[in-house]
Amino acid sequence: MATGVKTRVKLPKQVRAGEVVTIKTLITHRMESGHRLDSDNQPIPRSIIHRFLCEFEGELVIDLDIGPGISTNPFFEFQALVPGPGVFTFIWFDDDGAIYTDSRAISVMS
Amino acid sequence: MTWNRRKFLGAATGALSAPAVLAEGSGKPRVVVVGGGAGGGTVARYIAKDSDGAIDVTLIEPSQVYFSCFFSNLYIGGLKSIDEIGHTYGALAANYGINVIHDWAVAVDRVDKNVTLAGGQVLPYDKLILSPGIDFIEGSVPGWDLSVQTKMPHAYEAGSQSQLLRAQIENMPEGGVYAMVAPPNPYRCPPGPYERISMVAHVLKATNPTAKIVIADPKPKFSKMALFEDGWATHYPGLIDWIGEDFGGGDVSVDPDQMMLTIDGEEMAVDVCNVIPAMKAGRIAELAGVTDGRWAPVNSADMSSKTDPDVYVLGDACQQGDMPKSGFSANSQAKVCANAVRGSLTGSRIFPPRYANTCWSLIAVNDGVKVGATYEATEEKIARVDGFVSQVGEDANLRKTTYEESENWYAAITADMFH
Amino acid sequence: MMPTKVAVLIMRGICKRWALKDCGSKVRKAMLAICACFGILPVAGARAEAKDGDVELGAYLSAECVTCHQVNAQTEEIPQIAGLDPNAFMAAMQAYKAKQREHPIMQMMAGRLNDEEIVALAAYFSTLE
Ligand SMILES: Cc1cc2nc3c(=O)[nH]c(=O)nc-3n(C[C@H](O)[C@H](O)[C@H](O)COP(=O)(O)OP(=O)(O)OC[C@H]3O[C@@H](n4cnc5c(N)ncnc54)[C@H](O)[C@@H]3O)c2cc1C
Repeated sequence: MATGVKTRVKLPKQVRAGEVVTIKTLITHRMESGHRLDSDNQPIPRSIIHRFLCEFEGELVIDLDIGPGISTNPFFEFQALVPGPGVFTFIWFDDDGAIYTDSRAISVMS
Repeated sequence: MTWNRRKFLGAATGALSAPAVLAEGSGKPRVVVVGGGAGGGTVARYIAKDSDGAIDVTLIEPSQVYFSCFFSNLYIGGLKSIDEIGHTYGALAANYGINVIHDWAVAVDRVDKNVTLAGGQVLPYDKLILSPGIDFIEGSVPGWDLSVQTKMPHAYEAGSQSQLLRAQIENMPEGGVYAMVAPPNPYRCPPGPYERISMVAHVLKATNPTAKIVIADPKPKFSKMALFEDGWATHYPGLIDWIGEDFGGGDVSVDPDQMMLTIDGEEMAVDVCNVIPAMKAGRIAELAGVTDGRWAPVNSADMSSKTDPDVYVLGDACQQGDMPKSGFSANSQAKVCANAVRGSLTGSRIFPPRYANTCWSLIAVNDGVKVGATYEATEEKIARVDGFVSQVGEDANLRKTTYEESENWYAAITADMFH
Repeated sequence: MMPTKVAVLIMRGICKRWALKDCGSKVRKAMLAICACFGILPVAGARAEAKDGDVELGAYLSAECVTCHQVNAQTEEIPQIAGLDPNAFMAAMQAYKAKQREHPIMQMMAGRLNDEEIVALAAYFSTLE
């Protein structure tokens, strides 16, 4: 398993119903492209986050296929319309089979 | 007054030789330099060396020993001793006849053209050169001020602050937390905080592997970011947690008594808190009335102040354009300034300005990277012309050579300032 | 109706391959071509000699060199200045300028020296012990 993986998410805790919010996510990850050689000139095996998913109460918000050209510690920023209170779930899929998740509840002002 | 050969030559061939200004007393024109660091040391040395005694050069610097910030991160990483980054002023006095006064400049009278020292002495000048480095902006990190710098050191002026920070890191409890509050732009040495993180990680990995490093950063990205992130992932996986602007890294306060750090509303207990506040020009630049906002604007042709043609500002304190605030930049600016000042006082030839910078950073032992550029003087500013930066994924031998090169550079540039 | 919608997507530091590429590569290539032309001239043509150089200009320019190169101390990676053979020095500068010789800093520093300046440096260096 990749070492030192840490996820980070930022979005407002509370919004008005129907408001569009900006969501920022980051995962601390090596993102080894598979194109590099080690000191013995052997290829370093690819090990990247190849897919990132965000859902809101089971509805898909964004689903990304990620290639080996993405730099270390991938950062994504996107916007989503929040229809009502609920929970955003974030899922990162690692080449090595590991799955990292994070979630954030958002409430709606009355 | 004696005409030495160089001066005579200069006066005879110089295109626009200004009349020499004669100060009372010695009969020689007088240059006063405030600050004996990267910029001040270099400019005093070059003016004195190249004028062969035709100019009276006084250097004002409170400290007997200058501890360079450059390589102070390597001291924190245990790769250099404190003595290796300390430099004295004896050679400047002995080799070039520079009058070194260990005191603070506390006031500048630009009308009568003199500088007052804390000890009461008043020094007249024909040309005044300020290279006072930086001061911190009060209140830029809520909860922090200079009175708590012994609890939460900045170590952004080297010497006792570096020693304190190193001792704090060495005494961290097992599994403890080292936090850095990184500064907003513009600040001294753009890669400096991140080289420091690398060196702290180097120490902790060996002595306290369960410890953590947290960086609260008001910036969305930083100098050589790709190189540092790649290097951190390689050498120190899982050890370093960088919280940039996007994740609230700019919303920070500290509580020095409780050793608490709050980032984006979340409070955490920390064992070492390295607070590097926002910066501005060293206070004397402000007292001299040559600052506009935080920095002192200068003309790109000769580093003279935009406020006063007889005052020059070098290094971190000046606002010149594209050059980063580095020791290399200060040294480069000092040489252009020295040539211009000498020319205007003695009629020696003034050559077109040329500036350059290279900053080396050490990510881990034998893993050095560098970034550099050349600059030219335009009407408006010192503008970047050409440059290079190390690449992600370079081979280990090149990185080792780059580190060794930086050691050679350190020996050369400090000789160029102080010997 | 979709309860949520994706509006904007920004990825930072998107592509390693882009980062590797020098944004100024066109400028670079043009410079290279220009440098290569000029670089050949003094060697093949009139053959500038160090003794013709402007020593005072050389002294001024040399201030840039001594930031890294000591005059009289040889260090591991960075050679000293004193004792350099003037012709070898001039050839080396032209080679860096034309990017025929590797080293990012030297290519950058030599890249902005014109022929007169290279000769001036050689002239000044030959006055050093
Ligand atoms: C951690 C760190 C790492 C760095 N690494 C590098 C590096 O690798 N390469 C590089 O090129 N640069 C590096 N730098 C940057 C470099 O240290 C500064 O840019 C450089 O020192 C600026 O020179 P200066 O002359 O403006 O100021 P300084 O070198 O700070 O000198 C200012 C001097 O003025 C004196 N002074 C201030 N006020 C007064 C007064 N009123 N009267 C008299 N004297 C006064 C001070 O005592 C001080 O000695 C680093 C900085 C830091 C903090």
